[in-house]
Amino acid sequence: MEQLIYNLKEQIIERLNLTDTKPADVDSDAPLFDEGLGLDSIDALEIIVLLQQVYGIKITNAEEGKKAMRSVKTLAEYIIEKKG
Amino acid sequence: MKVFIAGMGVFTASGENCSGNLSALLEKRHGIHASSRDIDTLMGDFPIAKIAYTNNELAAKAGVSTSWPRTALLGVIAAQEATASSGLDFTKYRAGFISGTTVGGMDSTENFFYSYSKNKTAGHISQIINHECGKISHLIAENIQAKDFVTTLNTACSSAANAIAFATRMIKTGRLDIAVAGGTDALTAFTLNGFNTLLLLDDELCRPFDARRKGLNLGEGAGYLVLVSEEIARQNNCPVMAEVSGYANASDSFHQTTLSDEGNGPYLAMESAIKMAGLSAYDVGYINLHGTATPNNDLSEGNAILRLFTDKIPAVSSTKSYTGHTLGASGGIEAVYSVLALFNQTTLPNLRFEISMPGTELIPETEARKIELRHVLSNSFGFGGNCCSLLFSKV
Amino acid sequence: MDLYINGTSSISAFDSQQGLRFDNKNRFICIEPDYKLIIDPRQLRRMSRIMRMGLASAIKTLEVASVQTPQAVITATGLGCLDDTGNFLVKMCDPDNRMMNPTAFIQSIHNTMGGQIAMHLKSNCYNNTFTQDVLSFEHALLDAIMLLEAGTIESVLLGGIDELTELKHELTSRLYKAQKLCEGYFGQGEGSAFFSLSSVPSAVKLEAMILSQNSKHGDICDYISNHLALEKKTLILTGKCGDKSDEAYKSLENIFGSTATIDYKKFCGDYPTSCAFAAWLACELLQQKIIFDAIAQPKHIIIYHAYPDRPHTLIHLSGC
Repeated sequence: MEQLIYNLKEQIIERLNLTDTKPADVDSDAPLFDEGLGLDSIDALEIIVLLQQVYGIKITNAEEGKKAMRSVKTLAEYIIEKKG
Repeated sequence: MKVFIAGMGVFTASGENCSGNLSALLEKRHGIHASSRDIDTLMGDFPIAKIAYTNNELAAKAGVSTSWPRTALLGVIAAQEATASSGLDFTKYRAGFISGTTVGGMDSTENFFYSYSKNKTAGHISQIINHECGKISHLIAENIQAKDFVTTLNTACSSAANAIAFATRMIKTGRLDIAVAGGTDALTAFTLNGFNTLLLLDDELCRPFDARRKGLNLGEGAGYLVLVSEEIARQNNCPVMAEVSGYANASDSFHQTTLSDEGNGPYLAMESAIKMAGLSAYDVGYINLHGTATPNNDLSEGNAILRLFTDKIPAVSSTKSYTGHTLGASGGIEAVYSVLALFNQTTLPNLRFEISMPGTELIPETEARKIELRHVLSNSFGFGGNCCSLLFSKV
Repeated sequence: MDLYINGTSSISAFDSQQGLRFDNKNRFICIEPDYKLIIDPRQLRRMSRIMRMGLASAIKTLEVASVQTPQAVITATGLGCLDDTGNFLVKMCDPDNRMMNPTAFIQSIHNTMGGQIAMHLKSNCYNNTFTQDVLSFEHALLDAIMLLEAGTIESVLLGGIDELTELKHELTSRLYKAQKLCEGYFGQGEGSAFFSLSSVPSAVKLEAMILSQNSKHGDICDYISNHLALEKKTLILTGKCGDKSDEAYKSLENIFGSTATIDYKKFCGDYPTSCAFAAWLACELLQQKIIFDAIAQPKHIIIYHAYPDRPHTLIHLSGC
């Protein structure tokens, strides 16, 4: 779990070009959107595509996607749940 | 000065020319039969409206070199039809070619990159010489002898509509006598994968303006109008099909890839085009919708229509249910379709519509219906919030 | 109708204080400002270099012109957003690692800068993007002229932008080598130059723009010889690249006589919309913000482009 969270942080930072941010700066429980990292809809799309390409997980339900992408931790939990 | 349409050409997956496309529309035959895997074997399976000919077959049809990118091949065939149908000798006049495209020579560039990605010294460099959008227009213009002014617009999915508006202004201001204007785009792995990463592709046939719409199907093709000044039309006894009576471009200014829910850009484009012709919204009899079948576009466009036309909504339909979304070409193809509707006094059916979108309750035309049409609107909206509406009027 | 340029800003390899940025691979690379001072850092995060250059020079131009919202935004680009296009393509063509991302695709389209500028201004204005190789900027200028002459709007923001990427440099070098064009070539370049145009008189006047039809450039010959017969304080900026394509200029050179001439691509390199750089340089010279030895105080500047198989173009600016 911890490793997955760290990997996710690194991948999100790289994908979203958060150049001044280090994995340690990202609070695993903080909201990804609006507050926290202040991400937007294009970032959400980037994260969805990241899940598809790196973890082979397809988010089809928008509500489910929203819940999963609340924080880095929920995202990690979602991946574990889907990958079983 | 009035600007008239004296010729048209169109080439899509649902028809090879104007008459083929018209009968497909009237008989409700769509052209979305191929799969994205026919272009990119590594992709998921999405329906696409691919024209069945290979590049070599297209080149033979057009009588041009097989080295041309597919976008130019599709374009030249539609442009040749448009030119021939006008019966005009372009060399006697100041004739220009004004075209919209988004992918340019990308299909050929991709072939280069498939080799290049394996080995940096591989790939034939000649495969990228026609990459630029402008090169496509240059090739076509030379072929149809419309060489006095050649330019290309790339405003994403509104490119061809903007090309028609710009060409009309070139004639109105006396800078050209004749302009062949519209757009062309070929299907490429680049655009297919691009729209796939945006999660905008429907894995079934698209359903424009339907409550259950899930996204768009991509397509390819080209559509061109031959625009002439009033004077040239009179001198040559041209078979005038319609007048370009209004056009307008507006920025939605909301988001790079989505339109505002209330449809500010679409509203302003439609309103200004109608105003330019000195008409009121009530004079419009039919709207050829942008209608991509993405949840966002159709809702935004629908809301803009409700706001502008309030209690008297004209007949509307999206012909992307036949051709797929042909991106930079769509404004040209749909301009031809709009003029065909006007000329034949008919609505064009919107395929696969069953349930109206909640909140708008708009019901597009689902049958070809004889109707008295005087003015027809054609909508094209692109990424970057670029919105363009064209108004065609009966002469 | 008389038209004027009331503001301009550019990002290029040339800076009147810092000199020229020319690297060891014969490339003219833009001297870029600290974008954080011009653009919201949250917006900057996703922006490629061409978007930053375009938006920053657009914002600066409007500041200089004291225009809050122009009524039209017209951009020109020969090759568009090459970095994002290249990124997406390279990833797509690598079957083992197909990590294409949506942002690169969204931002690969030629009108990305035009759309960004409109969004930044929160404006519903007219917005168009021209891409016709080396003629892109002139065609965008033509659109601006037509809009202003129609009298329905009063101000236009116009810009020409192209970026040089590693991939473009590598492939173009290969192409030039294949076409044996490279001898004497000044080098590839990039840049962004924006202009605020209006019919209200100001420091620089747009005297004329001529696009020859096809390869008949008699109009341009006549215009230049008539002008030079009357005006001695004229500077000519030519778009020569240093290679054998410059032969296209021969037909008009005898008309120039002893008129001061500068090959402007020695300052910005060769790229499709370099004409926008030339127009920016002309505005600076006419307002004496930059002074060249060739001619201390030009009153008129003619920007002239000749191509082997394309229409020739002329832009004539004067200082007021």
